[in-house]
Amino acid sequence: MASYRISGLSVRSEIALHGLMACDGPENAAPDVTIVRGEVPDAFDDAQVLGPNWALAQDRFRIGIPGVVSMLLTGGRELRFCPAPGVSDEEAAIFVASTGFGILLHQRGHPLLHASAARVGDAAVLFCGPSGAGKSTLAAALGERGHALVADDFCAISLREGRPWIAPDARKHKLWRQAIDAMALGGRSGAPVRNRIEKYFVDPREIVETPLPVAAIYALREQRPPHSPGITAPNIVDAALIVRTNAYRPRLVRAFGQQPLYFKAAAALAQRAGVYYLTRPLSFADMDKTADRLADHWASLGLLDRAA
Amino acid sequence: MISRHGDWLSARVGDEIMMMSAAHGVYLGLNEVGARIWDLIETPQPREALYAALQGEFEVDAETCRSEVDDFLEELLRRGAAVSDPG
Repeated sequence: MASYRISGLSVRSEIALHGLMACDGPENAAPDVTIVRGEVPDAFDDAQVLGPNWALAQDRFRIGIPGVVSMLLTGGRELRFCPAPGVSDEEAAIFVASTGFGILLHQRGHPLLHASAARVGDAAVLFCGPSGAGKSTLAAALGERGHALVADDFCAISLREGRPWIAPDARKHKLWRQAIDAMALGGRSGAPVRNRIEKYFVDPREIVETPLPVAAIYALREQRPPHSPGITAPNIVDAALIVRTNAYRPRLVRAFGQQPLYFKAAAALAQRAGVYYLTRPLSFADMDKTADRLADHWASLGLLDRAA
Repeated sequence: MISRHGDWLSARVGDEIMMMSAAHGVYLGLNEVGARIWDLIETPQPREALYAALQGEFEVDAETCRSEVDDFLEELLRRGAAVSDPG
């Protein structure tokens, strides 16, 4: 059994979860979540909502990643997985720790954003966008500028007295070879994420282990007409849509009937933080310019004054 | 009489209001004037009362006020966020 802390939850797992930060688990206390290997049903007799590769029935959720692993998530407390024939635990663990755990967080009723996050001053700033938008790469580049990693792939938001907070989910960056080379991170890069893809685990320079208030959320956009580079504020409807469409799994928000939850999170983010578009070129050569632009924005928001 | 209709969640953001239909998941944004009208129709109001209230609060002539309030109410009715009751 290995113990981890994932998005603020204590987790005990039968298999090692590569890329996650192990921690000394509470020996006696029951963990928030347990990850076990076991039988996963092919279907539910009492399914309420069906997706292409998933099904929802009461407090049970089943997802199958064809040829890799199927998972059964129960009550947000147990994640049971069953690797496909010939698939190693190691390979299955990649999906358990990302897709599986992300859906489990959805199941627990946390507003969950597909975003990376970095510490700025005493707060966190989030970068959201679909896979390939550059979330991880930007967080890694900011790490090189002294902004500790808060989250790499998903951000669980909670509201405390109306203010949005993020539970830290620092894990190893999953970066494309190209990004590692461009940022000269080769010395800290480790094993490939999966055997057949050119994405590698890279140790973050510094990580955050305590919850932080959210100061800003940026939706990443590629610079191409009509979008010119810069940071702009969307209107409030677009701000709300940014939050909902950047849920970790937007279709599950509807399946779980959680639209009001995401509306409240969007309202809190708009009221107490700020929702912005960050439009920039995708090339690595322009990364410094983007980081400078962000630093200017944080200065104008007063975030840097509070730096410890 | 104009009154709110449907199951809308709303949140004030600065001078504006962000709204979501709980039933349909549709989002709506109201600017400062729209937000004020939304506040006013929490209790059903005759149109005349809305014109009078807004003319007192915003710098606008009577004719513009009537036509803009009517346009806005038309939009709220069309989106099912308000009902117009002839009573």
